[in-house]
Amino acid sequence: MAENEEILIKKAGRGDLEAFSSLVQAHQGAIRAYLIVRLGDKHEADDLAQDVFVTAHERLDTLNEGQPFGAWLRRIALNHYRNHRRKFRAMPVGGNADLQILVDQTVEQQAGTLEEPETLGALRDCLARMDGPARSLLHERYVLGHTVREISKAMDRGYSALTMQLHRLRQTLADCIRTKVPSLSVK
Amino acid sequence: MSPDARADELKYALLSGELNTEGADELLALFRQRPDLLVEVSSSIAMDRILGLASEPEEETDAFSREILERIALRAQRKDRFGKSVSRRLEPRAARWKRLALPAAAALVLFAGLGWFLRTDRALARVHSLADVAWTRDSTLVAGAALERDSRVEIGSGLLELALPGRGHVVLEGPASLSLHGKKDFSLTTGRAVFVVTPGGHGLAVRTPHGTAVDLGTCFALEVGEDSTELHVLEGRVTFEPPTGGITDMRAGQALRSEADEVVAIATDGGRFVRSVPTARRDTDGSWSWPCDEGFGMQTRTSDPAHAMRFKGADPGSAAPTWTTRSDSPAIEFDGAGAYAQSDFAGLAGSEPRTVALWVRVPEDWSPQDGGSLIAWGRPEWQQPGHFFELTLNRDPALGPIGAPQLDVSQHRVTAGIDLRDGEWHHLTVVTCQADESSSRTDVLIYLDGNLVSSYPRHVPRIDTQLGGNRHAVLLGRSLRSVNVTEPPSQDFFRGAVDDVFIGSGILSSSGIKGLMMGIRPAVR
Repeated sequence: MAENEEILIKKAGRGDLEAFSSLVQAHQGAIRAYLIVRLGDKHEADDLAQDVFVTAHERLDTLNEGQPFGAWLRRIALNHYRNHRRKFRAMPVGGNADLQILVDQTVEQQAGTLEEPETLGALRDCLARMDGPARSLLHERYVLGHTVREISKAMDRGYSALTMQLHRLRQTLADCIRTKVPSLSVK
Repeated sequence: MSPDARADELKYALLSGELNTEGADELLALFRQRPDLLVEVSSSIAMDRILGLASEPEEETDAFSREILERIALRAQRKDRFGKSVSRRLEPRAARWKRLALPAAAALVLFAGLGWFLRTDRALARVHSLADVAWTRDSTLVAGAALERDSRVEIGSGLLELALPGRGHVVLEGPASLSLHGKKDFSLTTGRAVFVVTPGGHGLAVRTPHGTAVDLGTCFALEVGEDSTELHVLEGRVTFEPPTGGITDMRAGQALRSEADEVVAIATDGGRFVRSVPTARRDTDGSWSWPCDEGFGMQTRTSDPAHAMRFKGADPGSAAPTWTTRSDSPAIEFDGAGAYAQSDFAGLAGSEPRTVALWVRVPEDWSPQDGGSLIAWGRPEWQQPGHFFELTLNRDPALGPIGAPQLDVSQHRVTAGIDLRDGEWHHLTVVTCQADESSSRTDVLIYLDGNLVSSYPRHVPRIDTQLGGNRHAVLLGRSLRSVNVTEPPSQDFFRGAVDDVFIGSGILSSSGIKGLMMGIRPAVR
């Protein structure tokens, strides 16, 4: 654990909210990524991520000295995620529950590398390098939040072609992340 | 179709969410045969989910962090007896609404998009600005939200400014309820409202249970209570017609009260009413803060070492400030007998909007014989209105409760309605803003523990803080009245404690002030 982070944890434990705010800023990306990849819904994931930090704040006194804060947060996130799954079971993909379970399990395995703070930063860098039609498409889909169907209509392009292009762009971005953070094995 | 082409077709159908039951069965079988395809698709799904997060604007990330801290603070507030003493001093009805302030602030964020979406040309009015508004109905409006015909606005507390396109604006002070029937047809069933009407709005009528006011080119204020309505004409002309009939023609400087069966002339009092609500903004001049976290030594630092606040005694026999605590963190104690602190930072000049905040603890036995100056800067020129800026405690019962926060800008003072003498820590914020470029009026908002509190008057003539010529610059715990005096009296030195001092150029919103309470200082552009 970075020395700076240890000091922040100690201060936060003494009730210093500014110090806790710095910890939130440093780890929010990883925790939100951890949950969003598993849940698939950004709002649901953000609500749960907030619960994670509120719980962490309440239980700061249980964090042992020298214990990695990020890993400790992820354990809290995992507990919240499991409780959430117990309460709200996902709808099957295309009506097939077995397929849903299989995809969920595999996505969760893939998630391990995507939730690292370095990955999110690398992904932002990779996104910044995109230009031309690819950048426009990613902007429409992920910044403006339009559905593929809406983009298809607005751009007057085939729905299947757009789905395919987005899939390829995601693969390109995964390759880009691998280049930037070689220690991560994004497949 | 080749097996590979069919696999692609199924894969893309899954990724686009359009896979049917038969396709799902087929793809499941395919995944079991080809784990590489399953990994490829799952990786794409994971990337799809995280891309939204990576693409979000910085403000959204800030809002996420802020909401967490607000939740933590809210929990702490519920557990802590901290707020109880303040609540006792607030009116019961107002207190109920103020407890809703944080959830309302969160709701404002959630409804932001909706508010903008609702903007249409059919709008009779639009929300221009808000300060610490607690809503009493299901709907929550944000700046920019449109109000159409027959809509009603109800607020429990706080200030809300509605722009009336082409007709002027109205400022509503909660608790209040205003209905919009037409472009020039309103009704105010309870609360205070100030109508600033431009020529395009002449003829605008406001119905109340005790009569109707009709604008003839003016600025007027209405206060509707259970048994009576007061009308104060601040500028121009207004007519008033009570339910019993008979029209009264009124001019600037005149006021009346209409009750069940009579209309009586009363003294006009424009100082009670707020004529505009400042819009939150951050200016480029930046902000300065003294967290007071050292707990030892004879100074407290800020980000610029040159502007440290150094502890002093007024004369060789006086003690310097000492260290005390607030929630286990260091804070500064002033003895009221000559202890003070000073910085080389000159303070903010002119009439630019500003936000000044600090934590303060006033002893229960504090009396008008004690000093109340919390923070001060500018030239101590008593005959020149607005030439200095001093946040102090009231010592004159004619101006408001003893021990209440007071802004003194030489010749003019604004005093809040709440006495702080309870020995507890309170967060105090003062926001000042010139109403507009040409205006000679500066609006003053005072927040206590994150809530907007009533004050009198609500504005002062233009603040024009003069810097230079004052060797003391920003002072903590010492009045500017003492700086040119050989043996200043103890009344010029604050008795009590302060912590986490903030001076910011610009206007902080009520949610920004709540953030400040939690130790989140606004970023400086």
